[in-house]
Amino acid sequence: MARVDLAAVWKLYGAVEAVRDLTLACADGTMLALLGPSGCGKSSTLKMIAGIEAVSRGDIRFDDRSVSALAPGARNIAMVFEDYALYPHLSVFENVAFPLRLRRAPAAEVARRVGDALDLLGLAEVRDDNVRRLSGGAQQRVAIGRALVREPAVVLFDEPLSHLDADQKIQLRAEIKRLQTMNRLTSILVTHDQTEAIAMADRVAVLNLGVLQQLGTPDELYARPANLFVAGFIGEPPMNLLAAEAAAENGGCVLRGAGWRIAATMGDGPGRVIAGIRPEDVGVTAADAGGDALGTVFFREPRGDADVLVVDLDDGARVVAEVAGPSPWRAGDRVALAFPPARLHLFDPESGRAYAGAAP
Amino acid sequence: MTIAVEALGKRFGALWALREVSLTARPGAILAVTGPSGAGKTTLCRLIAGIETPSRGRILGDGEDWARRPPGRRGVAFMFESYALYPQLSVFENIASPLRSPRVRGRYDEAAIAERVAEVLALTEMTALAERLPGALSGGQKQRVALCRTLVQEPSVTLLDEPIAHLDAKLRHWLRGELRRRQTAAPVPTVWCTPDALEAMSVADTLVVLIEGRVQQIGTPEEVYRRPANVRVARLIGDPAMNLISGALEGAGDGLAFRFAGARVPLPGALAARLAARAGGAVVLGVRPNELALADDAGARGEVYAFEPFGKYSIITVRLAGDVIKVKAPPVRSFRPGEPVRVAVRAEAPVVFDAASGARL
Repeated sequence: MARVDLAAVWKLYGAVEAVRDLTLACADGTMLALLGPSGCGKSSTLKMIAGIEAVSRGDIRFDDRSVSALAPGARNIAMVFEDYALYPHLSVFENVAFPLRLRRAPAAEVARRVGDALDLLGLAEVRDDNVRRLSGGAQQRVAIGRALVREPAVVLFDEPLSHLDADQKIQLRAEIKRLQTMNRLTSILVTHDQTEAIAMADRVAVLNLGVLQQLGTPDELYARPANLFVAGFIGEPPMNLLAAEAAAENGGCVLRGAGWRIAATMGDGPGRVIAGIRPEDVGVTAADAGGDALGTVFFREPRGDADVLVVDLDDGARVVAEVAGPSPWRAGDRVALAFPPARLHLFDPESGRAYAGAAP
Repeated sequence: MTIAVEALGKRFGALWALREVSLTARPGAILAVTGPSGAGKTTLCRLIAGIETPSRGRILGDGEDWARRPPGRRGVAFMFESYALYPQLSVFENIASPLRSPRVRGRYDEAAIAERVAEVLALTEMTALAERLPGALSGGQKQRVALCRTLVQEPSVTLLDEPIAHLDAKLRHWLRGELRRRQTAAPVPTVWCTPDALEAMSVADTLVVLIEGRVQQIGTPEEVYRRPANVRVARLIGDPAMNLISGALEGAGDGLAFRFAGARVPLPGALAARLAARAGGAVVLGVRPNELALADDAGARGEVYAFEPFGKYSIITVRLAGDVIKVKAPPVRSFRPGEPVRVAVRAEAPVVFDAASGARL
């Protein structure tokens, strides 16, 4: 497999800057996710790597060899699409064998390589079935088999799970991750779903409006989001982002927002900030126990092993808390919330950037 | 209005899309219907709305048989999954259209229409787009217009078929809470269909699990989560869903244990007493992913199949002798595929299913 480098890549459609000055790398044998909402530039980036779209400015390299000017067929990439793109009249075996037949590979080699791919993907038992009879998850495994049998330099996954029912999504997510890790496939995953990116990729590039927001491991993005966009995009339910005022008080520092107030440690002195706290870091107790803020449960969303509580604070803000489930809380209950200072993320409200060292 | 469905069946050619469905939707309550694609959710809505005619059974509105009542006189507000917006009308006029229909002539003046439309536009964060035409909207925005047009009415029953499927996560979360508050304050029942079992659990007063046209279970979200009626329901509910582990029951002193992959899980007394006659028999144990733990020294032997680190927890997929299971664990360390591990069961209330029929025992 190959290492993939993007160096100062731009994609322009007329006056529209779909991708702006993107520099990132996918190390050999790892998976990189391009993650963001629609219009963020992730699909344009994938198309430039595949060679379906031309690079407007900058360069794309596989192992130090520029591929920017190469036709798609000359790049040795394989693609897995969201709608599987299988040949409906062919069997599982023949779908996977298709790229080898095109190359006129000898029959013995086809049998061996397709057989290996089917074993790897758990498709050996259905090798002679028509692909139309298979579930969506199994069809996507066939598409992955067809991609792998070509022994490509890079595998591109374009929203591979988006057409599947939830249970199949969870299964195939783990399958792809395992396959990628065991076979050290250099892979690039495009998705709008942060759960998929976090579950599957070694590193994640978060994009918005054509601009790279942060590049890091899933842990880094979760623990230390670089700005408000990443903070709001990574995590489910998303991080609470609350407007607050920092002030010196009694020799310490106090953070005050609508309906809450906590003692905090921060280096940048007084001023307006955005305080971020993840739902699972918010403590919930009965109102008479006291806390950093008092409020009323507006909505309880039972998720089985967790309950997500939407709490309206007495002075305005709405805070989402996640507690172990099933919990005793119900809509209308009075509760006290605690915001542990060590779990706070602080952001500059003007630039949106995280203050260094503010997060754990 | 209370809507009761009795032994309802619907056949399309040789295929029964619904069979023997009985349920009751009460005023001020949300009846959430979940199941995979092809379960019959949309067919159920279309039968209640009167767009389809039942092949068997009947539908009652406050005790009155609706068989001879045409769709226009049922007063049903039905949000279609396909939206069905008027392309030449603005967002505002699309939403106002049911309030201007001949069926409600004279009930709403322009001020009342403006007020009702403004309320639902604000609820769905669509106020700024009121004058747009549907052609200038994204898929998610169109879905919100269709939702608004349903909510603006004062119907006998509200039917929502996948009402928030195409919205982003944040708005979906917000609307689950807002819609639940709004619909439970209304004097009519709401039927909410979704293939997303978590969404169904979060909005339901009563949860109905429908698979291949048959009701598998009806209960509160907690009941269905804790005690799924069969393995098909168990596979649908939870994130990830319940693990189903094949094994056998064997006597253990006075009690009973579940044996699998070289490990024994003693069953709680009441469950053991109930299953005593089945000692030696093959069963399936249902255990939630968060009721399993990776242990160093005890438990079933397996190997790591895949590892997914999610920040607040990790999911470790483990291959045991005969099953692939998922463990939801604190994010303590990472695992490599192929790594040997041992899995311990820490379930306070495991459930046991019959190996042949899949029914809970």
